Amino acid sequence: MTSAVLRSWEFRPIIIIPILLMGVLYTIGWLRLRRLGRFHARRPHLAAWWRLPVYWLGLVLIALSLLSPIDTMAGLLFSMHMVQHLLLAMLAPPLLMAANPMPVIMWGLPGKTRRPIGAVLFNRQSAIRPIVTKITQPGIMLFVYIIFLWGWHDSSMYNAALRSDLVHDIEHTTFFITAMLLWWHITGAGPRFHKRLGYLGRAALAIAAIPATMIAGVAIAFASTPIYTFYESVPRLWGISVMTDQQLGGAIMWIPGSMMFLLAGLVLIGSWLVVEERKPHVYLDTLLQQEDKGAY
Amino acid sequence: MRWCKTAALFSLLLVLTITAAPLHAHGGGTPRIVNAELGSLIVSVWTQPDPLETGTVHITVALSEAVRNANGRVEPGEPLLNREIALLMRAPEATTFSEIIPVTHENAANKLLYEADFDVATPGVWQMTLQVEGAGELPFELEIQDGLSLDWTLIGGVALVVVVLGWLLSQRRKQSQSIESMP
Repeated sequence: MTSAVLRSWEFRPIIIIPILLMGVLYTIGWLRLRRLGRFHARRPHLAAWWRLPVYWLGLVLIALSLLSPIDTMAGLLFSMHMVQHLLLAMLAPPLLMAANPMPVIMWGLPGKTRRPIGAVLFNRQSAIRPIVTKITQPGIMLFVYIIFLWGWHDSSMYNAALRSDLVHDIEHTTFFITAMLLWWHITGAGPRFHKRLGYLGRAALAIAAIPATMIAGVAIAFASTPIYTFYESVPRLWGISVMTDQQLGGAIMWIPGSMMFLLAGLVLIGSWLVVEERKPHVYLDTLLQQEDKGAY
Repeated sequence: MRWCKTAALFSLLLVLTITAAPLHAHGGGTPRIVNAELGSLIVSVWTQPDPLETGTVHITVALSEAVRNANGRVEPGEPLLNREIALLMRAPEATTFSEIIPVTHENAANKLLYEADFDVATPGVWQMTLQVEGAGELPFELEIQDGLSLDWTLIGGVALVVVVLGWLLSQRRKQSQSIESMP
């Protein structure tokens, strides 16, 4: 049986082509920026060495979640479906956004394509930018993320996704897009259309997302009857009962699901503390210098 | 010329991305038979799309050991692999089965399930029989509607390509106009 599970890969061009395209464009952009960085002091930061492996790791996680046995087994085990959602919405988006993809991918485009796209998407005078800025405010994105997270875990919506491949694909696409938009604000990645949130604002946004994941995970883990009846009609793998599988799935959503937001929140608070710690030092140094000069 | 190459490459990628259908369905679909006992086995059957229309129909079959739980209820156990399964199809108003479709792991993305694609040309109620090697037969019906022959995915894909090409052309025209207007 394990061999049959391991052979259950699905090579879907609709997923492979965009992933490869994004990876290639990012790599070209990153290389271009590295080359330019030799002459411009500010650019190496945008194309720091760690961004390329982090971006590719994010892409690999998406590919694994949608093409590997994780995807095919999601139809037989609820817990595997939760692992898939964890990769798609909690792990891949922060990795991709930490690599600051938009500016780097823009540099990966040929010059003649980059300019018109840049003019439409990023120019302050473009018609699209104010609309995007308005509808992707951090609070709105958090709300939309929670609505999609809870909505898709409603039993009727979830069963509908298992009944239709199209609905299932829509579920994954909306999970991924809403998570990317939320992590856009948390990581502070470009393009920066909105008012800068600062470390504490971004940490607050990350921490505000935790209860939503936790509530959904706890509700599923502690349910006394099977919520997703679809799994009652499929073969049971490795002797895992429907209820055990549901509890495991709820726990995956609850603990590792909340962990990424908690981790991001702590890192941001840590960064804020570091910045704040530097401020008094500068002030003290100035006072000491003034004291040396005999000002006091 | 380089612009044409870029546009052609993007169009090709878009067409490939949009029109490339999944190689196999993931399993799942509309339940037709749920946890039916067939000898010592439990059988569940799903079909896609929903509703069923003339054209290609996808069938998924899950075969598992019958396990009795603490309440005495029979439920699916471990999946059963390597059984021969065939789908016998009888068209509306026909008296005999017209086609036999093998339902196999090879047609499935999930190798623990058995799947098959088959074409249905006539709308109406089709009589189906699922033959499972060493277990028996399960009859069921499929109501097939008269489907439109429009492929919305293809139409959407072509429309998207036209929009992208149109946009690229307009940008090209704007650029050439601005160059011409330069003193």
